[in-house]
Amino acid sequence: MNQQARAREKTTALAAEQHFSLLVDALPQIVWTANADGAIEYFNQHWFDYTGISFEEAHGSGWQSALHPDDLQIFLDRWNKALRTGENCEVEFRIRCASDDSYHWQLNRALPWKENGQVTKWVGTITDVDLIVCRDLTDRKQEEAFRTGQSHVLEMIARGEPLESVLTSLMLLIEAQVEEMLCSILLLSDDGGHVRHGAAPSLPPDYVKAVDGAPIGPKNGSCGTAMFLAKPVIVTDIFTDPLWEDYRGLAEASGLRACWSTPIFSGSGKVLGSFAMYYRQPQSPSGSEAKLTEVATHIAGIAIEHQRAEEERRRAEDQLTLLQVITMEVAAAQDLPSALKVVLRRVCETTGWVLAQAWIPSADGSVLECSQTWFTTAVGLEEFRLGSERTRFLPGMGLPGRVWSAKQAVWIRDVTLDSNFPRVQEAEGTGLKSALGIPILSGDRVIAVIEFFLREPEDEDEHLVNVITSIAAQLDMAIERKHAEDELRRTQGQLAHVARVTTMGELTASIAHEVNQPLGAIVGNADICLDWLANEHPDLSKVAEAIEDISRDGHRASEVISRIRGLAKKQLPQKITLDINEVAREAQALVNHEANMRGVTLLTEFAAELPIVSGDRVQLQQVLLNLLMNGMDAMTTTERQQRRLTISTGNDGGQALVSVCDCGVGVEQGQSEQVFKAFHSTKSGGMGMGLAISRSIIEAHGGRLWLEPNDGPGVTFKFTLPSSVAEAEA
Amino acid sequence: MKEEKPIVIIVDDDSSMRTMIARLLDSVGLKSISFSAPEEFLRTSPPDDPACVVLDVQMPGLSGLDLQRELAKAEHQLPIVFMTGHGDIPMTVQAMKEGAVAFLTKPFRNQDLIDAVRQALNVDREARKQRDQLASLRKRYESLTAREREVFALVATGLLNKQIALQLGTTERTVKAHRGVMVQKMEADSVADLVRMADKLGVGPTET
Repeated sequence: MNQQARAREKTTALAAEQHFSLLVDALPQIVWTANADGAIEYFNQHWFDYTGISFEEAHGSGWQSALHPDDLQIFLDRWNKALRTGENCEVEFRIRCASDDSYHWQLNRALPWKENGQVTKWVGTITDVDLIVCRDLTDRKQEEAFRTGQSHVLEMIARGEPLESVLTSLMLLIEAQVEEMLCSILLLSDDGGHVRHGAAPSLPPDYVKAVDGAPIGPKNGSCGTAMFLAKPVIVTDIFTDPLWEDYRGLAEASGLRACWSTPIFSGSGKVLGSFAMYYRQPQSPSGSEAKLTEVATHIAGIAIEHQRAEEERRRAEDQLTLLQVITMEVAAAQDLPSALKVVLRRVCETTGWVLAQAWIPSADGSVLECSQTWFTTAVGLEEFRLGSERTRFLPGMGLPGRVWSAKQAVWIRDVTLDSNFPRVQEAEGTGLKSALGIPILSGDRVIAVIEFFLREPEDEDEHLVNVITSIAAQLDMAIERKHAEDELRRTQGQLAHVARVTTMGELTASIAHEVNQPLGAIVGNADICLDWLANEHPDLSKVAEAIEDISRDGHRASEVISRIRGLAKKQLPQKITLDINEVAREAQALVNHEANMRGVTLLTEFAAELPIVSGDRVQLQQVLLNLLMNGMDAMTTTERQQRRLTISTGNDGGQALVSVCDCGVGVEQGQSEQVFKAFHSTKSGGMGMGLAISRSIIEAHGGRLWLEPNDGPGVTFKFTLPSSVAEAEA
Repeated sequence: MKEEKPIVIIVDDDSSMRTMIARLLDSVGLKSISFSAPEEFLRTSPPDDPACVVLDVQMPGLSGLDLQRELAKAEHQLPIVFMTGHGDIPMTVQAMKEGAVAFLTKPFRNQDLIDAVRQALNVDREARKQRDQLASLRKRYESLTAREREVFALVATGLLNKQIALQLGTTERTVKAHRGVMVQKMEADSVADLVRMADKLGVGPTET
């Protein structure tokens, strides 16, 4: 090797060494070498930077001072073993870091340098595992927190918490993942044309308010456009992007500069809303946001769909409840006006519509007239109400007229903009906007039109129209049923009346006698008085006594008459609370005389404590009267001394029980039910309706009427009446 | 002769009617006693003085007509004034046939009742007189001896003393003596008187 070559070689080696040194010193970890005995020969620059211990100090075993005292022995044991065996050595220990004056975990890896199988040198690295572990830990913790956050939001959805709080939690979670980034969610309105506030916990309230209700379109900021196109829209600088032309001022005032919006889709691919990331300076996506966006839109989609389903369910439930309530109340209503009133009130209360009115065709069917049935939940609508009362509608005219001719629902979004709304002035004066008219049909005939008003212009709500239409159908059915019921009740009432009058006919003789007795006494006493008073010195105390008798007998006669008049009266049944003992006593009084005439002994066994029943006094008296007369008829051929008729009352498992027991001819076996059939009569001249009517009366009262043969002669008729208390509780 | 105290028996289940009738009778100076049921009245002993019954036809238990029948069974039949709330013809006929004095339909005129009651009392008074007379006649008859009764029976049939003596198998003188005592005992004024007495007593000649 020549000088030049050597020099060149030397230069090359020097350069290599320099290069190596530079390289090693640049490494972000400690690099060291030691001789075969383990004595340290070299530390790179990082050692000095990290421990602050100079090479001189660290030389030999001086470096050991940098180790944590607890870890030194463990390390030396392992290190000596490695020196003996010549194997790799990996040990963790703590080294004091000069910059923060604290110990950090380090991984020390020592590799033997071998020549011809002999260890000639050791090389090693010391790496700060704390830093690695720490960074790793931070990432993992954050990841985990993010996942926990997602679960939390999903839980909120499952718990059915309000959509806004769910979305707000979701936005806060997303925002926590990226610094300087603000999130918002906007919802697509039901009509599919506008944006609605969803959640934006960190955006300026004024901005949020201004955006709420904005239309969507091809040039409506990031979100409006994203929803419109159903595609993500990235605006890196709001100030320059044409999509934001109309909203630039707003964004500027709110200090927003970049907005990336991604549509939120339903499971079926429908746009539900949008998720947006905002920055306060121009910003392009770095790619790391994609995952966050995916999480945000996915969870938001679930939340919105869940809420929509919940709303749908609740609305269906509310409407069902409304229908049920109205059906029940309408069924209880006495006539069309009161049924209408129920419907108007309930619909307003449930739906939030402020005014409801009903229109009825005039008698000749030429115009619709405003009925007295109306309802309002608001004040200050008098002007409109008065305007309605003044107005009559021809077919096709105005809202009621249109509904009348079309025989179907009519929805007007804003009556003040409608060309066929004669009451527009009053509507403007009272601030009414949306209107809905529904026909109430009986068969093919419109028997009424109901109309509802709202103060806001609303688009047609198909659900609401359907619900009110089905309510209207209920109304019609209820009215028809009511008519049928009334008709039936009238017929039954007439039949019962005829039967009652027939029974009274049978009682005529004894009734006449009962009235005649006091009348005879009255006339007699009056004549005596006249005679006495004709004397020069009448004994006035005697006269007074006689007149007192006259007065008493007069009352007696009138009592008999009123008792009978009650029975003869023709009226629809009226249910009132009754003491059944009293009803039985009255019936007994009515037949008392008849029983005397027929030589029948009337006995009573009234229970002291009876369930209070609700019923029609006259009808129940009629039943008892009928049973008593039947009982007496059955004993015509009975020995005079044996003619006993017993009325008893009692308590039968919470029901009032009334029995009429005779000692008469009885009923043939197998005829116990036959006697309740209409036109079944064993009496000559009997209509055969008495027991049939009695049974229908008792059944109409919710009770039962039957007959039982006695152990001895005769039969016992029994009927029960449910306690009105139990009825009210049921 | 002791003072006559006529009494009216009122039987009616209606207390107003009873009171009114009692008041009415009192106003014309007639005493009355009231019963609410025929059974009650039947349990009492018959009055000594002239009496009558004012009776309601329709009553629980025994009816007025039943009571009439019961009273008819008794030796002493009281005259009855019937009252009814609604009298029908068959009922009235039956009542009258069985000796009712009057049949009044309620409400009746007070005077009608008073008249009927007075009439009934007269009937009873007459009946009592009849009964009293018969009783004294019977007493006189019972004071006769067996032979005197035989003579009485035969005289009442219109036989002469001679014929009587022949029939009795005795002398005309003996018959004359018996007849004298008999006429005295019977307080008879004439043969015709005796005949009437025999008729009332139901005494006839014993067929021998």
